[in-house]
Amino acid sequence: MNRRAPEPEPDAELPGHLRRSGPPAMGALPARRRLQLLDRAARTLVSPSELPDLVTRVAREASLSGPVAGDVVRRMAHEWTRPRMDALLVADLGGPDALDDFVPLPGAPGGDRAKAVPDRFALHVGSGTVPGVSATSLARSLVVGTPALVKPGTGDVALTRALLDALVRLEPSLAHALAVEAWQGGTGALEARALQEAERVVVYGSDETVAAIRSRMGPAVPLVAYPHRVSLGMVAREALEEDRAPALAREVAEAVSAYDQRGCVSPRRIWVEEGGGVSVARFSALLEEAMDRHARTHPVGPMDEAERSSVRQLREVAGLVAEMDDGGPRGTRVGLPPDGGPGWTLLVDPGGQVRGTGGGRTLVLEPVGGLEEALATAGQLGTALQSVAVEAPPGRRLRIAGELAALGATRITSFKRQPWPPAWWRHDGGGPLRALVRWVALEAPEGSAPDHSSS
Amino acid sequence: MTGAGLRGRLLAIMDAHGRGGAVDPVQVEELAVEVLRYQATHGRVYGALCRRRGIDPARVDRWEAFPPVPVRAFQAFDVEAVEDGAGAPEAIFRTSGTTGGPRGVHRVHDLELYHRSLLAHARRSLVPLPGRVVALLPSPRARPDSSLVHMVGQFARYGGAGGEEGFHASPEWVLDTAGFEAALEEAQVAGEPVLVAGTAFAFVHWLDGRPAGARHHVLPAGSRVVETGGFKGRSREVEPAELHSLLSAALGVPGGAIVNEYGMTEMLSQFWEPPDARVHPPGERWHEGPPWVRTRILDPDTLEPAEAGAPGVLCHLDLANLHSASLLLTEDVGVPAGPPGRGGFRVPGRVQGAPPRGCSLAMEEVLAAERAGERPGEGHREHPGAYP
Repeated sequence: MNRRAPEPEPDAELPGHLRRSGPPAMGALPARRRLQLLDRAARTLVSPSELPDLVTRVAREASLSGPVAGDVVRRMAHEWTRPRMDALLVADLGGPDALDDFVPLPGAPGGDRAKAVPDRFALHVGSGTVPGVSATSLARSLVVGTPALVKPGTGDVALTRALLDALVRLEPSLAHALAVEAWQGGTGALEARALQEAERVVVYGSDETVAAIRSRMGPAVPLVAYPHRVSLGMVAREALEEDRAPALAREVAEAVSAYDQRGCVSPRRIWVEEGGGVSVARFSALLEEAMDRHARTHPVGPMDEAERSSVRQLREVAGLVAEMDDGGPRGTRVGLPPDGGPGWTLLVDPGGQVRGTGGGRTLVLEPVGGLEEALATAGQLGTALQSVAVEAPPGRRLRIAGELAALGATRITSFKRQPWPPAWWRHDGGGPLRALVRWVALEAPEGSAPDHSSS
Repeated sequence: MTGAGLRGRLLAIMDAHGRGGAVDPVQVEELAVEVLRYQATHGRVYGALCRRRGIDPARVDRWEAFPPVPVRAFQAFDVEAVEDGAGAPEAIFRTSGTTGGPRGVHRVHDLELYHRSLLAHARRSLVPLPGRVVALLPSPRARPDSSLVHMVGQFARYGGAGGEEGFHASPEWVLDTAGFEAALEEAQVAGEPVLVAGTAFAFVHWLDGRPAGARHHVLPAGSRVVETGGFKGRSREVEPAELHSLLSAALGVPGGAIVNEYGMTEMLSQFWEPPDARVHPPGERWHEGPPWVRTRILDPDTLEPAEAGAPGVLCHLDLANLHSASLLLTEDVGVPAGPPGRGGFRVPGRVQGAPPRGCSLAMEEVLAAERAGERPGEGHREHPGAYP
């Protein structure tokens, strides 16, 4: 069922076919077998015979440079391997057994059990140009055993199709349970039919995309939505010491540069606390060096005129703010590559005066007297806040994590790990596999109801 | 030269154009240099920009050698160029904030200059400029901060009305389609040409809401339909050719009577599809500004002219912006189009200010959206590039 582009008229009967033929095909494969297939497919994708061509295709399609696309493919494939998926299953469903059998319900006395049951058919919709999003969605659907039609975003087709191709080569029956089709979202008979047939819909996209799909779904069909998010970073003064600052600057630069900063986990703004052993000015200089050094090994992908124009606007306004700053105490500064190209921009913006967004890799560094100021600003983002990298001593980091959690963040991490969340992360605060199944309880016939007689 | 002196010369050029006369391009370009020097002297922002670039305005004798003001500067600063003792702005227009930041603000100190510019070029472009207006927009009194609404209000005044009649949307931009239909009927009965104005998404909402089999209007000959492009996720998105076809059928006007306007809040002059562009289907048309406007297509990295025929970022010189900033670096990507020597262009690509690709948001995007509670069409930054 995996079809190669271009296909002007995808078969509108595909969802019906998947819904009919998918459940027996999936049902014939126990969970552990599906995990094994996913593991082997992931390893195939990064094998020397497949990886170079796949990276080339992903890079071209997603407008990334080869090294950046290579990182994405390798990191993504790693998260689909057996140890990573086992950890996700344990975190979400207690392990793979619950997908095949009724298993004891932890904590329930008297023998009550439960089983995680997949849907007969689900639609997964990706949008945008971040490779790996839809492929991961496909992998999750396979793990729980749900037949699915996956519509990747425009920059995410090659990897998703490559994963499906590898799976079907290993287990041809999966061609009757999983399909990848690309079409213009919001149009066509295939999408309408898929929305009719789906028992669950998974959407990655903007608020507008999510709302548009929700409006076309039946009211009883569950929607699993992963809207766009904001990710940030915080550096405490204690972290700004000579022996740590250069490595930290590298980690920040790499977090910003992964996916060319397009991932929802990519930090766009960091707050750096003044008063450390290394000044904020020195740290920003280290960061500029690190951004530039990383860009030499991992260049930014091709940028169109609109993106370059956006970078130009941001830099020009920042330059004006700096010019009109009248020698302000902390100083607005614009760091850019030595050749002035649009690839990366580090904007030191003490007063938060420079508004709007850039393109390419644009990081705003805002010096603050205390991270409490940053928390107040982050709090305004509410549930749009996602991953926050916090660099601080353990005790303080824990306190900040608690505050961020209360404000709406769903992941507190380090800069090193920020762009590469593990398979078992609580995606936007929820278990990604748990979101794809229906739990069925099997209660023991008698004697297991809570005993209130002794109270 | 003083602002008053520059204004006088500019009004003479505008009036000559409005009367159908020719304008000497050399005269305009000489005036441009003087206007830019004036703005460097009396504009805090433009003065800083020249200093930053190490440019001494007195030594620059070609307008192309002056630095352009990025349109996002209107979000960060009060971009004004007024002499000491100038009063408060006569109007304040706000953008829709589509660049993921706060809304830009254009403080307009000379509405008369704006109106003369607007009407002179609209008369030459729409041919004719009908006197009666029926608009799917809020009234100017309801939305005084919308430059789009203000523009259409001036068209209504031009027709002799008070400037508040003919608007069929609430201050919150909720469309009054029944009132709109009734006004169209009335215009048809009156037999006078009518100017029907609205944003693309408003027209689509109206068209989608019409009952199947609704009677098509047949607007009087000479009527014009002004659509300003732009969907921004606020209605189903319709290709320009399809929208024109639907409007043509529903309003009973030929395709050439449907005119797209490219305008922006930060700029007081407008670009219209001229009559000879309107014989072509929408995707093959182009826009032209008045003689006191020049457009350059630049490489966004270097700000040097883009290669011949290649897309680049649009940089407009608009002398009607005498009291703010006349040389503007937009975020719109365009290509040269239309007959050589007329300065026409087409905006074929992505929406200006399109957010970076991917699933990440900048903090400013979230906060700006929450602050603005953005309403459709509030900002005047509509053009054909907004079509998907």
